[in-house]
Amino acid sequence: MDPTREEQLVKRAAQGDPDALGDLLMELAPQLRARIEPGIGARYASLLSADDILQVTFLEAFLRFDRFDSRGPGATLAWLTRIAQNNLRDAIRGLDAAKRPSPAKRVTSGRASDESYDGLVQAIGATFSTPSVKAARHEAHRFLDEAIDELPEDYAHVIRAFDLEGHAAADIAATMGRSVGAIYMLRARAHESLREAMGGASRYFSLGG
Amino acid sequence: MAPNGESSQASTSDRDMIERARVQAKAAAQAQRRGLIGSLANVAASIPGYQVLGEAKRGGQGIVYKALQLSTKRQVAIKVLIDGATSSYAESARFEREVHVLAQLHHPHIVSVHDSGQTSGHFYCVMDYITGESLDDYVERIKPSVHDRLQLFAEVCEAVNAAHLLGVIHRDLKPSNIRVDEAGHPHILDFGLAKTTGDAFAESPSAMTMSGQFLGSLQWASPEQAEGGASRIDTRTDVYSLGVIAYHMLAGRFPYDVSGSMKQILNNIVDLEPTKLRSVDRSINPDVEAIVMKTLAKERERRYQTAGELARDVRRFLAGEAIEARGDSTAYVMRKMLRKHWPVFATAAAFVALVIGFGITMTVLRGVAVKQRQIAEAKTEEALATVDTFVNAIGSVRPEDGGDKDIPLRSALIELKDEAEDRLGDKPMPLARVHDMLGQSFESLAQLEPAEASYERALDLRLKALGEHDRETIKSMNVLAVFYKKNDRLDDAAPLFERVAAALPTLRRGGPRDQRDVAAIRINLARWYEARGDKTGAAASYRAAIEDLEGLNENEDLRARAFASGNLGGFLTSTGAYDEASERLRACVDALTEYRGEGHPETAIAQVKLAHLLVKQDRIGEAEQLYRQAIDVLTTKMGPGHPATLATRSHLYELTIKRDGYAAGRSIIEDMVAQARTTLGESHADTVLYIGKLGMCQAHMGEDDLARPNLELACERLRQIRKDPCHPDCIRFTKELAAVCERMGDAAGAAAQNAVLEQCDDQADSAVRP
Repeated sequence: MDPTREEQLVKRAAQGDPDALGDLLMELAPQLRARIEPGIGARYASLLSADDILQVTFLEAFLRFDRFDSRGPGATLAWLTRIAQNNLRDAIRGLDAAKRPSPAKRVTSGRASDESYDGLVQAIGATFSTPSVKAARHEAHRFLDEAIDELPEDYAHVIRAFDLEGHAAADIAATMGRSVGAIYMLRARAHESLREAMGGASRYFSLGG
Repeated sequence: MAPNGESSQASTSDRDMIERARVQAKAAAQAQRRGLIGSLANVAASIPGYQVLGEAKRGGQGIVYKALQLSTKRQVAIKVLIDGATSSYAESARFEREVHVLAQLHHPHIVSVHDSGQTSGHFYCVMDYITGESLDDYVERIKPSVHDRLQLFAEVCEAVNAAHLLGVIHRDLKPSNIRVDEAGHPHILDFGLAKTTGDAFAESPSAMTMSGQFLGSLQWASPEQAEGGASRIDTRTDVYSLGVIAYHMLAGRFPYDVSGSMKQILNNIVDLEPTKLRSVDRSINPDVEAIVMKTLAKERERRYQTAGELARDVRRFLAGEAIEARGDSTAYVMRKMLRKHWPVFATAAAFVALVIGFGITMTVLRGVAVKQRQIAEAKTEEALATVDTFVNAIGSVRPEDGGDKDIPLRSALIELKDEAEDRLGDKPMPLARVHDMLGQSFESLAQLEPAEASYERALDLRLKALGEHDRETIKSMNVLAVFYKKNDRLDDAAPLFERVAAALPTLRRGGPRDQRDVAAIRINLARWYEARGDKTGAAASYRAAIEDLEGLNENEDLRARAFASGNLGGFLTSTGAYDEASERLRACVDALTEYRGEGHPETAIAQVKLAHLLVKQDRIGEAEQLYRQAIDVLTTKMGPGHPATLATRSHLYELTIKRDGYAAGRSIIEDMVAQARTTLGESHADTVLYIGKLGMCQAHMGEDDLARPNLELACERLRQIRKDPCHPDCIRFTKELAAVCERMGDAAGAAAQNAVLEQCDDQADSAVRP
């Protein structure tokens, strides 16, 4: 990509122009795809495509561009590559883990329960910090719901369907028109976004523990 | 999108995916905002003793609600801070202390704080609720006379001064933080960014938050805020913002362009002189202009020192009295420089007054020695003879001597150039000398464009007046050639060096001055030969230069001989003649230590050359010590981004990775790249070289995704700069890039780089075969 054009688009995107970021992604998409495709390999080709990874990478780019610190020509592609590689890694990790499921892990009731909320809280690495855990539980669940509502649509859907309602990844994939690998990838990103939201809401949660 | 579906790529284009991502991200941002606002409204409603009536104002720090204090039935404003903004211990301590200070600050034009606390993790404070409108809305609606505007402004200044007297600096003064009540009196709000003097918690490293946002309101910020100099923020910072407010009240616009990117605005605040008020509106009284311009001085010491001083001067004007701001004229820059560099300017000031004429009055020259005063009174021809004195004097104001790289010096040089062109336009020789000096001075300040323009102008003047073969013309050519070479513009340098070499034998070598000139040219030619790989020519030129200088014992001759010896030593190091190299280099270091002192950059550079030799001799510990000493001196005297400082750090980096591995050198090279990008610019050869080195470092640390763009950039740019894809640096980076591509599974990318390497191999083969 021409360094001058990249610089101009990055500058405009940093000023909050979503069209500029869209153009930037459009121009870098072929290179990004070329970098990601070899990493999928034959083993996962039936469960994951480069487009799955690109879709989530684009969403992350829009969500996180304000944190991107461009250090010159080529930096945008490097940044996107890093996001895409993380997404790929998360998808593969999820697919591998699904092959050896823990019997205690899933409650497949199809309805969110206190346990499933607690499981989600545990999964994102948050802990209750209010003095009375029990008293705060209901309020915390409400707060968790609010935080999920503030996530991008795909993230919110995957968290609700997978973590709270206990549907299988393959079923969620079918309803969303995505691959199974994409669901694991979306879930990892959704957890990360939720973790950040929870970290900011310090009156309910503290991270760690 | 499903991998085995009907061609995901055909059904879903990149554009569709990007659009989908964009829509989802936008919806999420809106939901977050709604969630935050709802959360803050709940917090406000939960504060006991108040009934929230509605939202009054939203800002970066939080939301202000209009509320009723139930016990007194009076209207108040409750400001609730956004969670996170005050979550750290330091921040919360600062907030509490600030509220405590403001609670004691009773002034009719400052909003009082009645109550404060923390609820549900959010800080809040309860303040007076002021009916009325913001200062800019008020001025826009009422359109008061200049007199009334100044009256209002004086009240604002007095209120700010009351805060200053309690040690509170506002730091975010702007019209929207000043409300004008129905009686037309101002009330200052929002001490949210206020800092108390001596406030340890407020000494954040810069005006930028960790998330990179500017703390405060950009357009009204002072140069020290724009530069991120938190430690330099004091009452005069508020004085500056008051100046912007006054300017805006009077002219209806900002003193400089505040459109464009944040970076551009910050640059304008730091660099651009405010447009004169009277050039916007001729009807404004010159005294008012003087007051406002003094308030907007870039340097804090030139402004009113307190908001009280500013208020008093405004009051003086309103009372028809003489103001204090008058007299800060164009002579200021030179006066300041005279004070700062007095020994240097003692002789130059007289010349400046007489020939260049900066408008310096004899008041400025008070105290100049009798000898200089005589010069000042001399006739024009004699004054012109002092051009050399002046040139030498001002030319010696170099960063390495005084550690001054400040903007006033640069501005003064630009002003001097314009004045010199005007006044010496018909005197090419003195004008050329002035341009020699300007070129050196600009170059010392890393202002390469004006430096080049001055060197070129000097050569042009001499070519026209003296012709190609005059000694002065050849020296001028040599200076410009060296400048090009230093800046890696070898194509520009080559023809000039050739002309210099051709003319050298025709030069007369009578007295010591000729010998010195010829020696200096020889040294530069030798370095040119060295750069071209002509070892024989280089060694011969160095030795001839040393011979030229034999028998000359002026200080400058000793220095020049030390340089020649140092350069020859450096060159001998590269050829493997270590014994003679050691002898020459140690002689050079000793001579410069004696002549310049240990802490001088010239001595430091000689030490660097000696360190290179020590590395070759595998005496790593001694070399490292010398590099570190030199880096300390160069950083202090030349600045961290100076090419010499960076080059020396680069040597230390190479030594570090060789001894301790890439991880140990990582932070050094990262910092160097950032410095080089800032100071030298993205396309400078050194910057590109350091980017390439960073890429190598990342590749060796297994971070191929980070390494690749850096290596790609370095290869592409270096091939352009060196005009040779087979230059050793290019080959080094190309090899690494090929390996990275391969590891990343990009066979085509690797093949393209390997093709370049094969071509270079072929070239090398054909060069050695008969």
